[in-house]
Formats: sequence, structure tokens, C-alpha cells
Amino acid sequence: MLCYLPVKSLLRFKCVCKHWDSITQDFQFICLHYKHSPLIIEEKPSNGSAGCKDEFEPLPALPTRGLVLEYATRPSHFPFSPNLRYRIRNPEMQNQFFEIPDSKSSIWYMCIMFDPDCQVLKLLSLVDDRESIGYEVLDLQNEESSYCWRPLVRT
Amino acid sequence: MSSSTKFLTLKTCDDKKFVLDEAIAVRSQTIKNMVEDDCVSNVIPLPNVNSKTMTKVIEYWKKHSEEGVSKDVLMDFDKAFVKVHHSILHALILAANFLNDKEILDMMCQEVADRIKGKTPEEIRKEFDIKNDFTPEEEEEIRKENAWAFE
Repeated sequence: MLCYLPVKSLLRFKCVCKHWDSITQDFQFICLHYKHSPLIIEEKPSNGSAGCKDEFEPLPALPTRGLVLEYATRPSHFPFSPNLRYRIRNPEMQNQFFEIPDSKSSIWYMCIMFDPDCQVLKLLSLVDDRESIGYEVLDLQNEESSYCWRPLVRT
Repeated sequence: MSSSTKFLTLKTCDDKKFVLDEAIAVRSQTIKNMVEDDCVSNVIPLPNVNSKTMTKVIEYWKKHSEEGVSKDVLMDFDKAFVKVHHSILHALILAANFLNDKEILDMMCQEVADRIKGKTPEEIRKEFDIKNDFTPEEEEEIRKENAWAFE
């Protein structure tokens, strides 16, 4: 039943008792909760007139569950390459968001996905390093130091 | 009479019998497995479900098996269906779990979650009769970590 609750209620109920606190940290529970909280990927461009600030506009209708991957254009010196700023936000967690670091290459497209094998959310992007097009991956783990893009190597 | 219509008899724990079209009864994965494995004789006993709860389940199954019912009508039906006393809600969850009907189970669990999501930890402890086994310091620590969730 708890896996049907929104994040905000879950975090508040962590202090009900030790058992409930431990449930919220259980891997199987997290996967179950994830299943009931579909990722909502909202692509939200700003209106991006030249020289405007790279600000994220508030979404007209906020989804109540899931994560939102937002992007905004920023002033670009290279008009033919995409120059976007990305961030992930959980609408339930007020204004807390995660600013996605830049890649050395230009990011053309980005999506968010859950890797059940290693229990992490990942970002996948299509990048262009001016010579070739490839994919890069960023793991969204708790250790903030490790947030960097790495090339996706085909195996 | 259509030759394809088969009827099953379900018997609840309080010995009430329900005769139901097999095509409707197999909304329960448990019953479906029994039918597929050919282990349905005359009466299917449902030792974990009482007749009051079964009546509700069948009401749901029939409505959702009707042909030509619009999505809006079903949504209104579902909305009204979950508006029951919490004792019936809990009985329906147990029944849906036993009958293995994911649709009803999902809907009922979501309803319970919706009913408790706005409550305080104190109200939750009272509602579910849970003993707070944190020391005041431990509880304060967790509350601090998640302070925004209490706003």
C-alpha cells in the first residue's frame, strides 16, 4: 500500500516507526514505488528569444507524480548547434531540482531511464563532438562527485 | 441458448453461492488458472472471501464486462465504487489479493493511499495501531532530514 503514496507523504511517514523507515529504503520497495510513479518527461523549452535569460518557465499543469526533465535554451554563440540547459525536477519536492552538467560534446537529445539491474536512474544523450555522433550516459546516483557524462561503449 | 456460455458457481466462506458467467469470473487470475488447469468441478470454494465482499467484486466485474460502456461512465462507477467504509475497503483488498485481480487491487490500494497521504505520522500511528519505537532524538533527526515534507 505504501508504494502507492506520493514521495512527500512517504518521507513524512518515515518517522512513524523504525519498520516504516526501513521499508522506504528497501530496494524492492523502491522498485515497486517506481513502478507506480511513471516518469513523466516533459519537454519544456523556453521561448528563447535571442539574448534572453536561460530561465525555466513554470509548467502550466504540474504532474503530481514522477520526474520532469526540463530544458531551456541559453544564449548561443553557435546558432547551428543545440545549446540547452537541462535539469530534473520532482514536482512534489517543491523547488528542489538537479541541474544536469554539460557534456564536452553538444547534446542533441536527452532522455531519462531506470536501469533495474544496477538500481539507478540514468540519463542517455545523443551527442555530437563535431566529428561523429554518439551516445553518452550519466548515472544519477547519490554521490554527487560522480556526476559526469561518459561515452556509451557498445558491447 | 448460446453454446459458448458456461457458468461457474462460487461459494464464499459464509456458504453463499454465486452463479456467474465463466467469461466474467476469469477476471480473477486465481479462477482463470483453475479453469485452465481443468480443476473446476461443480463449485469453486472461496474460503477467504465473504458474500458481502464478493457481491461488491461481482458488481465491479459485471460493470467492467458490459459492452458499450463509455470510459467516463466506468470512471464514475470506479469513483463511487471506492467510496466505502474502510472495513469494506480492507476486505476488498484481501479478496482482490486472493482472487488475484490486479485491477481491483491497484484501485483499492490507491484509494487507501489517497486517504492516508495527507495525514501526520501521529495520525498514521493511531489509525494503524503502530507503536512509535524511535527515541525522541531519533525521530527529531528524521523529521529534520525531511522537514519540507511537513510543510
